[in-house]
Amino acid sequence: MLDIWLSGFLGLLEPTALSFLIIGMFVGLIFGAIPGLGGTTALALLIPMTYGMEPFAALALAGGVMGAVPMGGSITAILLNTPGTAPNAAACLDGYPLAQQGKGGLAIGASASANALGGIIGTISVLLVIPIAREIVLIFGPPEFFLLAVLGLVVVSTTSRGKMLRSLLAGAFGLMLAFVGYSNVSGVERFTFGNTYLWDGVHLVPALIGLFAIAEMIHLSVKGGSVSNDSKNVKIIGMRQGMMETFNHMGTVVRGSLVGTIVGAIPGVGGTVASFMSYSMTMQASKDPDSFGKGNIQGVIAPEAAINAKDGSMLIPTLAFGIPGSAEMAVFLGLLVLHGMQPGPLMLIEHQVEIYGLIWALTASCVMAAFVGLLLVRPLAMVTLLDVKILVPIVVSVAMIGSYAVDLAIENVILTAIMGGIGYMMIRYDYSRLVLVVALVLGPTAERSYFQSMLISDGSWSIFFERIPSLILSVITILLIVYPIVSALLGRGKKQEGTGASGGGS
Amino acid sequence: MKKYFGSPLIEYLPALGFLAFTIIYLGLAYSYEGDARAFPSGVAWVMLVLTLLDLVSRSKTNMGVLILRLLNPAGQEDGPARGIKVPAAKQIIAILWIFGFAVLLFVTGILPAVPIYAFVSMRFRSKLSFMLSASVATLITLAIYLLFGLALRINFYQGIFFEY
Repeated sequence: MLDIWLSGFLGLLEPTALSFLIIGMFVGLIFGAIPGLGGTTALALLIPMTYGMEPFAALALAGGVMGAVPMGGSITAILLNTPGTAPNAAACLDGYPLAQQGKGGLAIGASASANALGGIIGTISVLLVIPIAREIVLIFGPPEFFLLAVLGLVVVSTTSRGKMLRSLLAGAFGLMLAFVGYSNVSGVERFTFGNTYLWDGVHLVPALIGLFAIAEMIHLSVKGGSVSNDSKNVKIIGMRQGMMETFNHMGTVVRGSLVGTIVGAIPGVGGTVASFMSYSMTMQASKDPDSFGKGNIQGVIAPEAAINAKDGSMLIPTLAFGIPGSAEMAVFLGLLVLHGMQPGPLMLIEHQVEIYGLIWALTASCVMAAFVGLLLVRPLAMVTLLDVKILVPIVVSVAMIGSYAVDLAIENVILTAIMGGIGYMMIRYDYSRLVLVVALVLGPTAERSYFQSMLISDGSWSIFFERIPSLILSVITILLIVYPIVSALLGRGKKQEGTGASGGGS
Repeated sequence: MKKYFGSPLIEYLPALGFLAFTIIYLGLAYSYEGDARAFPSGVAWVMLVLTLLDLVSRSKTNMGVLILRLLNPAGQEDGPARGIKVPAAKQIIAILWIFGFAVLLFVTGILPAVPIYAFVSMRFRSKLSFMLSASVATLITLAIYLLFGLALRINFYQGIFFEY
């Protein structure tokens, strides 16, 4: 095992991989600092550019992006009260009050070191978990993989708080799109209308670029203005002291990192839950909870440690089961597929060096981004003042050409535009784009595993309840669907009782 | 704006769009043989049920409110998602700009389409100055040429007049 860890690490020290890691880190810092863009858009734009690259270099680039985005996001969260990515919103709660008190540098310094330490702790956890994950995956057969695909969709749908119906609908829509093209079961060409471009199905990368990069650009252009209009708080002093503050609150860092690692491994829950959970646990554990929200440095350290720790653990469901737990992971999965790496049990066996290289890249990027981020605080914050009237044509042009470049098909551009329109409508009407993408990815696996299961069982559905792993997965899936409905019914009953009681009283 | 079952027509549009899509999809699915249609048609039936639930949940009828409360409580909050409170026309125009660019790319090819789109978008849609629009359009085109054309050695699509 140690030799594979080392191979991954040494591979990362190769000049090509190292260069792409650094490029990815800079891209991640910039995209992380611009609200509305973030790691998902950055990866979606970069995937086509990795075409023709060595897989290891492409993974180093992706690791660089994913490791650096949280640092970029925290700079604007603290200085401008404009979180670059959703998980950074928790850092606004105390970071921005600190910036208003003229201690923006202190908060950024603390955020940078918490980011780096969180990333390291998260990486250690993942390195320990991956060998166990491989053993678990090998127990799984076709029924379990089918149930896992269904469970993945249901988990991601039900964790979109209070949006189960529209998330499940987005999932079903994604599955329907996933069945376009040649059937991997019967070999029949489906839903293509005779268009040869659609024989391979809905091309994943152009679809992802449309759903995320283009949809966000439409959203920004509709919103107008600049990403942030507040430049008066871009003042930076006391960063070194801030870095030391993190080491003075190691308990907060470790707690935040563990919360991030555990929450990150659950598909669909994501970094926002991790960062706010870490923040709230730190507040509850504090002797002075009233100081939170007014500029308590622990309120910056706790969420920032959690965000970077979750990056490593989010890789577990993506790599081991092919279930991307977040939009960023869904796009990253597209990159793996583009480079001939099919996530799942075989990936954990056949691409171990690449996996460990990726994990090292993530960690290295977290640490480097913390230092580089400190040097680039002011220019990164100024990026958010760029007018969207200029930003949108730039990003749209690069995204569209990137989409074309994936396989030199101009039809990709049309697909990207269509998915961009769909993505924007999904933002507008509150449907989950993540669930759609997860379904698009899992659709073929679900269909293939279902038919394999039916062949094994002679068409009996009892196969999904016979073995212990499949029984557990079936029960969890049913519980996840039923629980929100039952809890809503119970809540309604209690509300009616309350209303009745108050009515009686009056 | 005229309301149907307590909600304006625009609120039903996504569900109606999904409904139309699902009905066409189901029709197509049943034109395939057994194994090829089994999974897509099954998913499409589920989609049909979900779409009907979504459609009803968007009304302000008792049934609609109940479905929303049980299955999609976040939808009970009034107002569109992510604070999008701009006229529908502005949103449609923003989407059409993207489609316009895609069509332009398809017709003229990449290298002419990028500067035209960037310049026209900044100069005429966003009312930026001629110099700024021209400079940014030139820089974007140059960057794309350097990155995709020279660094990645990608052959640029040349449009329908030259490709075919």
